[in-house]
Amino acid sequence: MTVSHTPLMKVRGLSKRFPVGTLRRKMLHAVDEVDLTIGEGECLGLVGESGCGKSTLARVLARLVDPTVGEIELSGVEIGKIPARNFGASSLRRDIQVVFQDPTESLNPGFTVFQAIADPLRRLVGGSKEDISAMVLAALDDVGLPREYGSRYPHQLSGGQKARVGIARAIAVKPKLLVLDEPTSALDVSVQSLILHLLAKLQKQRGMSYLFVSHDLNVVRLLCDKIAVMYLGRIVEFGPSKSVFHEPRHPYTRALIDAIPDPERKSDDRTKLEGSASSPIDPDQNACRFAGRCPVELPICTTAMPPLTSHGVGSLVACHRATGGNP
Amino acid sequence: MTVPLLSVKNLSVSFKTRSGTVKVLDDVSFSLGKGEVLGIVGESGSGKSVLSYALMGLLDENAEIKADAIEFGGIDLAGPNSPLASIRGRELSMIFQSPRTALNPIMKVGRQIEDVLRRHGPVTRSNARAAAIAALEKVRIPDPERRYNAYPFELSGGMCQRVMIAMALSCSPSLLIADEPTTGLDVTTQAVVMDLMRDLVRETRMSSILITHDLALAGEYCDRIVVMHAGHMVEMAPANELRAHFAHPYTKGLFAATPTAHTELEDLSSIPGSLPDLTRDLPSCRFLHRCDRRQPDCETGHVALAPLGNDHSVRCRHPL
Repeated sequence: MTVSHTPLMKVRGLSKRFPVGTLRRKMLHAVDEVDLTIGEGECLGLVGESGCGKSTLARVLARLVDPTVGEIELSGVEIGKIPARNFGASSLRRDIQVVFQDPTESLNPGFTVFQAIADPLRRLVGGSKEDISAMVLAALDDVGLPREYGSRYPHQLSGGQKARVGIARAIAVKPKLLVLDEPTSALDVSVQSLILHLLAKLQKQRGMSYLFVSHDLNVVRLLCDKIAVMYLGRIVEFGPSKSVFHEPRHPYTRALIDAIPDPERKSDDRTKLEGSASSPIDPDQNACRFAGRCPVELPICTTAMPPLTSHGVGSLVACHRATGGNP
Repeated sequence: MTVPLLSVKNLSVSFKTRSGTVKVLDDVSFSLGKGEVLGIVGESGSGKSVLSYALMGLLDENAEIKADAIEFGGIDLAGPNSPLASIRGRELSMIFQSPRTALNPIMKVGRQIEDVLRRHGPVTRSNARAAAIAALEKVRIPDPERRYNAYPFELSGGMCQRVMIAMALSCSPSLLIADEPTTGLDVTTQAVVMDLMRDLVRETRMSSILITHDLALAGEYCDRIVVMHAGHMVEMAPANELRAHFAHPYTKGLFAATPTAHTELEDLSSIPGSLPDLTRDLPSCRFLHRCDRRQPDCETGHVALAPLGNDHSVRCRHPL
């Protein structure tokens, strides 16, 4: 299952901090020292609760937001230093595309489907009117929308159809990396399964890499080769989907999996997470971010940040418990 | 069998709009026992929220509600002299979908709970504050005295939903309707909020209706489940029975489209087509055009919700 992919994107020591407070002296650590590698043709899932920084990380990697420190390398080219406002005009913009969360909000209500897909093609690929038109129609075919839908406006489409337009717009320019920010969270289960099948098919055909951001582990597991679990800006567990899902080593991952509704569960045998995450504003750099909420906390957890260390084939866990043996 | 707390017979709701009459609910009949948790499951547009709004009497004026009977604890809510307005919030109350928009954004949450208590409860101005703080404490909000003074924007989504639950439960209703109470919340928060609701419902022997699009969630927390499609109840069964022996093709499709811990992508299927246009004349089986088990006789005559045994009923001529 774990085919070794040549790396497409390499991320080293990436942090994004936002100044907050009246004098802008405090720092909100949205993303903190993240190392990641996305292989060519690989699908990486990024999961975590809202507020854990997964969307910020996705936006930094998609180069919509500038990182505070850190390196982002795309096929050997350092792109982390290019300011986000210039990145749109660079030739690399077409290599990284984004499918946004809400299919309604992310489409311009005044653009027809054809215009929505043609716009990025005109800016990033260029060509004659006929070329663009052919590429738009090909993109519509790829996502399974009838060609005559090109003349429709977003309000004339269902949620699933709008999601398809969002995908068509992103893949039309033939990106190498597609960032999917909760692409199915606004859809019904039946439509969700259609979109998941479509995404799997497109990835197979094109060999694109995916960064799939979601809070639904059940969905992420279906599509992704690897999963990264984020908590308060830091990656706490990383590994092949099967091992993360079936043998979670970090107590937070276990709690996330136990929180998925399961009609067959005997009601009380699960790790429950009470309370909410501590504040991401100037957090203690010498304590585990999960300390205080962790059901299996040790004294060392409040005095030392556990490093992300390797445990077996391709699995990384940041937990003092995992280092000592069983989590 | 004991007398049910709520019994609905042949409820139908339609809306008059410029593009015609939309028949949103048709022939909905069910009953709810004391202390029972009933789940209502369906895709968006299946009419599940309209059903809850109809029971609460919160629909707009262009809604036409017809029912043979809606009986709640011996009171008739369907007739012209329905006392619904005076018991709403006290005897039957509701938790809405997005807590942040359902709460008043410019009023302290404690005062919002006080409002409900003073409208319905035996509290006076002087002891309302203590009662509101007690209500916040009951839904396990840490530091309730401080939270009493919080505005909704100062609280997290899970906390806002707890305030909604506190408000709904403040007058000890006998029926609680929860309309997608955890949509938009994280899974971890969802688990905590749902466990809290289950504990409170058990403690007070309250009956409740949980409206959700998530079959797995309904399966875990409900005693009985109603599956709705295009305004029809297509299947009704105890939760375990439904999971093991679903009989309607739509229920089968919903189960097959819901990812679980054991599904692979290849196993995940979807339901073809989309909901029928509810302004048109519809066949008696509204699932007809999406169904892969369709037979010629499905198009004729009336298909009614028929019992299968084991408290299980289905609206289908050719059940699985």
